Amino acid sequence: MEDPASANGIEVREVTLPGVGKKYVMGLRAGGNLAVVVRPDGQRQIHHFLEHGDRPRDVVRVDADEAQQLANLLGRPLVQAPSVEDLDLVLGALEIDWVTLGETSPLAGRALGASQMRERTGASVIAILRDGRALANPGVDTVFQPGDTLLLIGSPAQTDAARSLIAG
Amino acid sequence: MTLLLELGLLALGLYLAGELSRRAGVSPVVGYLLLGILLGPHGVVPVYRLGPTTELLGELGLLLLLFYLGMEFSLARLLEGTGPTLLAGVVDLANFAVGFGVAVVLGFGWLAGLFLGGVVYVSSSGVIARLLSDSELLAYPEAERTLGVLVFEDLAMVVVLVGLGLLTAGGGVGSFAGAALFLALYGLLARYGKRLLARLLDFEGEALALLALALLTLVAAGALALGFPAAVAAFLLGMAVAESGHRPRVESALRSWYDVAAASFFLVVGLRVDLTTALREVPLALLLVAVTVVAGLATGFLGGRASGLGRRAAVGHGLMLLPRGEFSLVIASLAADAGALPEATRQALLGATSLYVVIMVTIGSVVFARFDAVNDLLSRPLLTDVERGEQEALEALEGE
Repeated sequence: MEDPASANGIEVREVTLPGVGKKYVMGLRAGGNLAVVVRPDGQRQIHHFLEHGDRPRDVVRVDADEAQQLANLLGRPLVQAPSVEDLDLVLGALEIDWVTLGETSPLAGRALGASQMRERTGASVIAILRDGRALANPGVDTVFQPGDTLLLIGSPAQTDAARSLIAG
Repeated sequence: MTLLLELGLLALGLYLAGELSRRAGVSPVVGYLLLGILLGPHGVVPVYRLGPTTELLGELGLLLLLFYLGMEFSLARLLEGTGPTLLAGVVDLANFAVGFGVAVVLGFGWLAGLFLGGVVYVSSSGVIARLLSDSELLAYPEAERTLGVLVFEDLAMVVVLVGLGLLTAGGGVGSFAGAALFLALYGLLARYGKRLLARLLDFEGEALALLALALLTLVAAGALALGFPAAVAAFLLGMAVAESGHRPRVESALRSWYDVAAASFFLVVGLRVDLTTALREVPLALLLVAVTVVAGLATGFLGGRASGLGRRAAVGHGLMLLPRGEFSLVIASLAADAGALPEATRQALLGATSLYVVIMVTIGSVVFARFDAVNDLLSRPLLTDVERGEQEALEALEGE
């Protein structure tokens, strides 16, 4: 059972270190390998081994929150940069926009269907961020609340129109 | 001395001893033990004595030590250890024979030999796991093997404890029948009682702490009544609790009991050591240290090589397994209670083991603090020219 393993054909060996945590070893194409030790308290250690080396050349210790940040740094270019470029190519003139619904917005308290956002502006609401949770693809009877952040998609003119409709 | 004053001095002394040990870079076990030896009834200044408070806490400490070990132990984890670990574990068993041999050659007899074999054999999983996680050595190939072998040792240690417990229980068919009855009851619990245990421990806060404590002490008392070693009963109960899925909650519910009682157990071992007798056992302790270091490094190297480690890592494997600690003391304290052994032998075993543990823990701390240098010193002559060349190339790269 190697869950984080072999996600994209790169093999990861998982070893239980009894009483201490887990170790994940990933071979590097450039030679040598990286060993990530995960301790029960959430601390991670990243050990870099050179080829034929039985001792790490360097050890990086990070606490749980630092590890999360590191994962964000490592994950960001992989997940976002290429996909945004791809989106630009494919979608061309389309724009994705975030708009927050104010207390005074005429849409507050009204359902998505009743707001006729799509008919009146051409822009679609593809998600609503509420209380730190994302409602993806909200239905026509989803009711807007003040403080909601709406994720809109459409041409720049359409999202601008939606923006003014929301602001009232 | 009032009970309150006694408990207060006990807690304060243990705290100071633990803190001093940490400052000195050794396991607190050493501090607790020395506190008992030096400030015990036979010590330099007699502050502590064996009385109802210390004896109760010491006994509870032994039970809790084994109970927690049992909760952490898992058969699945041992089997998950795969072939190489098992192979290294089997080679490591030779250390038991070495300890046994020393006792027999010195004329202590075979029974004392079994105890001394256990003392010399069992590395301290607590000390080693802590030294490893505090160091940067966790990802070394030999660390993985060492931690696997420690699980193997824990199991072997339980077999040794059951055997020693039965051999010294006063003998007779009766005690064997009682022990068999206990094991049969335990088998039933393990087979059918999982849900029962899971429901019994499904409480929070004080209810859980009280129930877990009652369960532990009553099972141990029941085992004793049947002539089964209470310490092993505590271990087996720990395994069953881990199976029930309540382990993390039980561990945290009893945590402060564990901290206080386990420290007290080491103090009580120290209290039972007669300093003047112990000093007479210095040669024996030093002999045991020498034998352990030589045999431990040799078996570690052989076991490491047999299980596929490189030469330098195999030497490192032997080095990592060196620290002895809590379980050598557990075995020595059982020896001190064994009526079948002559009084002089019991005192010799207890005194020698105490000094032995202090020295081995200290050696372990020194080795772990300068691991690479010690390892290089020992392994350089063993390397082939190719390996030496490779390492020099890597080191040259380091220097860039």
